[in-house]
Amino acid sequence: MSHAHTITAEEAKGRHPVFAITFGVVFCVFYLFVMNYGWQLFTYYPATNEFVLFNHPPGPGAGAAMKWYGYVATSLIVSTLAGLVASLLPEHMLRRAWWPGLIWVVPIVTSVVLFYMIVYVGD
Amino acid sequence: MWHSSELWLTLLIIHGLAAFLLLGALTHQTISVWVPIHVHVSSFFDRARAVSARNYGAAIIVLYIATFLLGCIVYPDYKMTASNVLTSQHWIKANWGFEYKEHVLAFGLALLPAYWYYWKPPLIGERDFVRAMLTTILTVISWIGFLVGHVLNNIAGLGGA
Repeated sequence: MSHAHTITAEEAKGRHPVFAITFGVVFCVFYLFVMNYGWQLFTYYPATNEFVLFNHPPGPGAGAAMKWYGYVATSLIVSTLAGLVASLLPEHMLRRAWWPGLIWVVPIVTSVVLFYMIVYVGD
Repeated sequence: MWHSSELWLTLLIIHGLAAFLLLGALTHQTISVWVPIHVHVSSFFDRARAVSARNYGAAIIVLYIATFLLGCIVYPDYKMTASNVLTSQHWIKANWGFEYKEHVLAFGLALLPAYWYYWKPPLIGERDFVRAMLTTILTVISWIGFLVGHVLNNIAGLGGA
C-alpha cells in the first residue's frame, strides 16, 4: 500500500473511522510526551490511598508514586478531543493530510521509541 | 485494603485467565487473517487458519478491556509488593519489562476503536491489509503483556518477591 493511495470517499466521510484512527494515532504519540514531561492528570499514592492532581507533592509518608493512571487519563482526553476535531473537518482537508495506514505505522514506531525511552532515558 | 493477599491473588489469577483467553482469540484471528483458508481442513495448523476470524472481534475487545481493567485493579498491589522487591534487589531489566508492558498495553487500548471499525461487517477487501496489521499489533502487544507478567510472577515464585 503506498501513501499515494488516497482515502476513499467512504473513508473520508465516515466520522467513526476518522475519529478512531486519529484517536489511536494521537494517543500513541502524545503518550510519549506525557510520559517524558510528566504531564499526568493525577498521581496515585497506594500506601496512603491518596490521589494528587498532576505532579503536586503528596502528604507525608506517601511512599511510591503511581503515575501510569494519570498518563493514560491525560492521553485519553487529548486523543478523544483530537479525534472529535478531526472527525468534524471537511473532506477536502482530510484528503490532504490524513492516511488510514497511520493506525499501524505510528504504534510500531512509537513502541520502538518507547523502548528506547525506558532503557536509555528512564521514566 | 492492602492486607488481604488472598483477594489480590484471586484478582491476579482472574487477570491471567482473561489474558490467556484474549491471547487465544487474538492469535487465532491473526493466523486466520494472514493465511486464511476456506476449504475442508484436517491438519492442526489448517484448522487454526480456518477459524472464522470475523466472529472474534467483539470478544477480543471485551476481553482486552476486561484484562486491562483487572490489571489496573491489581497494579497497586504489585507496586506495593513485587515492584519494591524487584527494585531493592536490582532486577532492573525486570522493572524495565513491566514498564514497557504497562505503556504498550495503553497503546493497545487506544487501538481498539480502530480495530472495531476494521472488523465491523461487511469486511471490505481494500481494508484487508490495515485490518491484518492492526490485529497483528494487538496480538504482539498482548503477548508482550502476558509474557512479561508471567516472567515477573515467576521471579516472585523464585523468591524475588
